[in-house]
Amino acid sequence: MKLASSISSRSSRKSIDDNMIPMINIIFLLLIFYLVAGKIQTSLVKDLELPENTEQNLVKQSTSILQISADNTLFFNGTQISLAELDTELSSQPDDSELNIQLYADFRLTASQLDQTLERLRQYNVQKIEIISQQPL
Amino acid sequence: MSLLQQRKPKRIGLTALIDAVFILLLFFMLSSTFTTYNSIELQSSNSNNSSADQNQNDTQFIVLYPDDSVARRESRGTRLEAAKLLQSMDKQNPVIVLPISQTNVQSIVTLLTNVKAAGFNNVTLGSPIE
Repeated sequence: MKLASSISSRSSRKSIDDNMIPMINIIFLLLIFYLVAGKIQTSLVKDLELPENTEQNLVKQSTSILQISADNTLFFNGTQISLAELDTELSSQPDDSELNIQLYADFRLTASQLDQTLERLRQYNVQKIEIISQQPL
Repeated sequence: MSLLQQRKPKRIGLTALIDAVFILLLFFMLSSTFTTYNSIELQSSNSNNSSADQNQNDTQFIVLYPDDSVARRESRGTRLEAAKLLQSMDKQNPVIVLPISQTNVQSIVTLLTNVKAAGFNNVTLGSPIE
């Protein structure tokens, strides 16, 4: 009796393991797909929607990331800051350092709102400013 | 010999492996994106000022209106589509885009992209005008 129950439990465990193999195959396939096709990107702040652009110009490496949301809130390297704090941040950079900034600006911002920030960046001699847009889906 | 024959191969438990693979899968599903980002490089202030100062007469100013129409600064009354205006301009000379202050970023990005795609290499975004 004991032997029979032991055999049946062993065979049921074996069949569960065997049934899991196709699932594991699919999960591995999904994993490989995400590993190959996906890219880990800068996370955008809440409600920030980038302008769309069909021309391909790949984004290069940059030292700092500045995001401006639709309500004109600034985020420097992921931290919310005011314009005055941005001044402090930019002025604290060593003179000989080459500061490159990627600007993630919401597509609804107006030119005058964008210019407030661009003006600051130009004041502090930022070497390179890149406006980031996204490829339409 | 009989001992060797009696030894059964050990089954490797799959549960731990599946746990790890699931965690990896979740991580990649949540953190990866398929959106392609493009960039438009703006000229720095120094190169912008120097080129604009040196070739003040050659610099071409494009006024960008909120409805995406454009005009030469000298003839702001005549609004055109960007493609038509760009055809009439000299590609060798620097271009400065002057948006009207209410123009949105989408329109600015579209125009800057079109100007660069038309073969203008020296393109800058100027301060907005009223």
